[in-house]
Amino acid sequence: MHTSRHTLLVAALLLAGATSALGQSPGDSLLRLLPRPGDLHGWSTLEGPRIYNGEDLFQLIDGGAVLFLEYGYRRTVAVEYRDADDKSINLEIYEMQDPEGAYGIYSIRSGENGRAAEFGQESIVNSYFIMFWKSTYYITIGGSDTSAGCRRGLEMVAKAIDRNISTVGERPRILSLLPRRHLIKQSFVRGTLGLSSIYMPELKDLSRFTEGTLGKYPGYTLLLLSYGDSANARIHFAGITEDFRSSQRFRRFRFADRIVSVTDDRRRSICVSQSGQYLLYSLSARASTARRACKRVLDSLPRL
Amino acid sequence: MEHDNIDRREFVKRCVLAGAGIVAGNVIPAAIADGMQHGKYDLCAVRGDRFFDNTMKAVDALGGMQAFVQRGNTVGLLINSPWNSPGTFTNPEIPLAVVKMCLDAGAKEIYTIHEAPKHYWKRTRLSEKMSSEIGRIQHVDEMIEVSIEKGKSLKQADISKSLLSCDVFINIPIIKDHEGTRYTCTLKNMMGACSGSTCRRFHFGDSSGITSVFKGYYSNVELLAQSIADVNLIRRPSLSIVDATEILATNGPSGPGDIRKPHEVIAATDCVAAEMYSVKHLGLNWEDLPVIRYALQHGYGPRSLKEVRIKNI
Repeated sequence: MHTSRHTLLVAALLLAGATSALGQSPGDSLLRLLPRPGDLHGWSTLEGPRIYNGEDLFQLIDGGAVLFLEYGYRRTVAVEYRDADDKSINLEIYEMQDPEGAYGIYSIRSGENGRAAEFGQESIVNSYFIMFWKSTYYITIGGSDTSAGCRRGLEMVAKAIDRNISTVGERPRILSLLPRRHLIKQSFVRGTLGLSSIYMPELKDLSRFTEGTLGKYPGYTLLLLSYGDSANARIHFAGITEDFRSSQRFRRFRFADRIVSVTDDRRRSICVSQSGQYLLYSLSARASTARRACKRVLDSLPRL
Repeated sequence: MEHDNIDRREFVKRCVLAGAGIVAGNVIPAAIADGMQHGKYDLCAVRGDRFFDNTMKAVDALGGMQAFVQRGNTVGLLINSPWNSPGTFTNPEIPLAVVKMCLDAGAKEIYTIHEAPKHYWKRTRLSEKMSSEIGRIQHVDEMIEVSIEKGKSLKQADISKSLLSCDVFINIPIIKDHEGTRYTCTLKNMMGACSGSTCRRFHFGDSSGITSVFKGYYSNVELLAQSIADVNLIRRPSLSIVDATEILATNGPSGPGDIRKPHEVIAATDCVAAEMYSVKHLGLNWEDLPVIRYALQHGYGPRSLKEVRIKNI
C-alpha cells in the first residue's frame, strides 16, 4: 500500500513525539538490536554505539544520506568493533519508516556482484561486507579487509542482529508487475536518486511519481513508475512524449499501438507507454528489443 | 584594501585583523591561482601496484616537486582521509610520497587541511619507516569566513585557514562513487576544507533537510554540483594527485560496495583536467557530469582533454 513521503514524515514526527512522551528515547529500540556481549567472540567495541537522527546522518555518511532520506529514513545506530589483530568491523543499522523503504535501500545498494546469503529477508555477502534487510531495517556490516578473521566476525555480527529483529515486512507490491523470467536485478525506487543508474535527465520531472521499480534483463531495462491515478499518469505521458518529440537529444520519433519510441544521442532505443496509473519505459540498444519488451509488459498491467 | 605588494600570508593576516571576510575570486593575489605550466606534461598517470613510487614518478613527469614547492614554503595537503571502508579513503602511501617530495624540495612546514584520523597513517606498512616525516605533519583547526562573489549557489563558506595561508596547496582525493553526484574527486574534495555547517548548505542551501523532503531531492543534486563548482573559486590547487588505485565503485561515498582496482595514480597541474581524466575509472563520461560543466561555466579548467598534455606510464 503506497504512503506518500509527506504522510510518512508526519507519521514519523508524531511517533517520535509519542515515544519521547513515554520516557523512552527513540534510539532505544535500535540499541536493543545490537549484538550482546557474548555474541562476538574475540571482538570488542571500539567506538559507539552512536545514534544518528534525521539530518545528523550526514555526519556519518556525508552525501550518501540523501539517498536514505529519499526512501524515508528514521535513524541509525553505528558501532565499530575491533579484534586483537587490530582488524575492524563497522556496523550500521538503518531504521526506515516502512519495510518498503528498507527493501528499497537494500535493492539499490546490494548491486549485482555479491553472493546471496542467509541473513534477514534477503542478503548478500561480498569479499569484505554483508548487507541485508529485515522488517523496517537495512543493515550493513563492513570489515577493514578481506581476511578470514574479518569475514568470520562479519557473520557473527549478522547472525546476532538477524536473531534480534523479531518481525518481518513485505516487499513492495509493484515489484510483482515486472516479469520474473530472465530478471537479473530489480530495485524499488521512490525518487530520482534511485534512478541514477540510467542516464535520462528528462526523468527529473518525474519526481512526482509515487513509487517505481527498475528491472534489468539481458539486453534491456524496464522502468515502471506509478503516478497514483490514471489522470496523473496521462499528464506525465503527454509531457514525456512532447520532450521526446521536441528535444534535440532524440531522433526517430514514432507513436504506434500506444507506444512512443525514440533513439537517444547515445543510440539507445527508448519506448514509453501509459497504462492506468503507470508509465512504462523500456531501454535497449536495439529498437525491436525495446518495443517487444514494452508491449509484453503493457498487456499485463492492471488498468486502474 | 591594497594587495599589490603583499604576499598571500600577509594578505590573509590583514583580512583577519580587519575582521573582514575574504572575497574570493577577485581579491586574492593572482599568485594563488593554479594551472601554471611547469614541465613537459600537464597530467601524468602511472599504472602499477607500487603506489608510493608511482606517485613520485607521476609528479616527476610534471617537472618534479621542486617545480611546485620552493625552499621555505608551507604546504597544505587536502587528503580524503575520514572514511573507514576499503576504497573510500586516499591510500596513505600516496600522501606519504607527497610529504617526502615536499620535504626533499625544502618545504618548511606541512599541514593537513582536513585533519586525518589518528589511525589513518597506520593503514600502510610505511608508517613505521616514515614516522619522522609523519611527525612533521601538522594540523590547525581554524576556520575563516570567505565570501564567494561569483558563486551561483554558494555565496559564503567557512573554510580552513590553512587552505588560504599555505604557499602551496596540493589536493589528494580518491576517485570513487557518490550517491549524490555519481562520483567524487578533486572538485568535491574541497568540501573537506569547509566547516560542517557550510557542507550542509551544499546539500540543502539555506533550508533544512526537513523542508527539502517536501521539495524533492533532484533539485538538491544540482544545488550540490553548483556549490562544488562555486567553492573551487576560493582556491584551486597547484597540484592534484588522484588516487585511482583501489576505488569504491558503488554505494559511495561511505560504502561498503564494489571495489575496482585500476591501480593508477594521476598527477595533474589542473584539478578539472585531473577530474576529466579520472572519471573513466567509474565508467563515466565527463561531459555528462554537472560538477565539471559548472566548473567550466565559471571559466576554469580545460575545454576538453585534447588541451591537456598527457603522459601515461
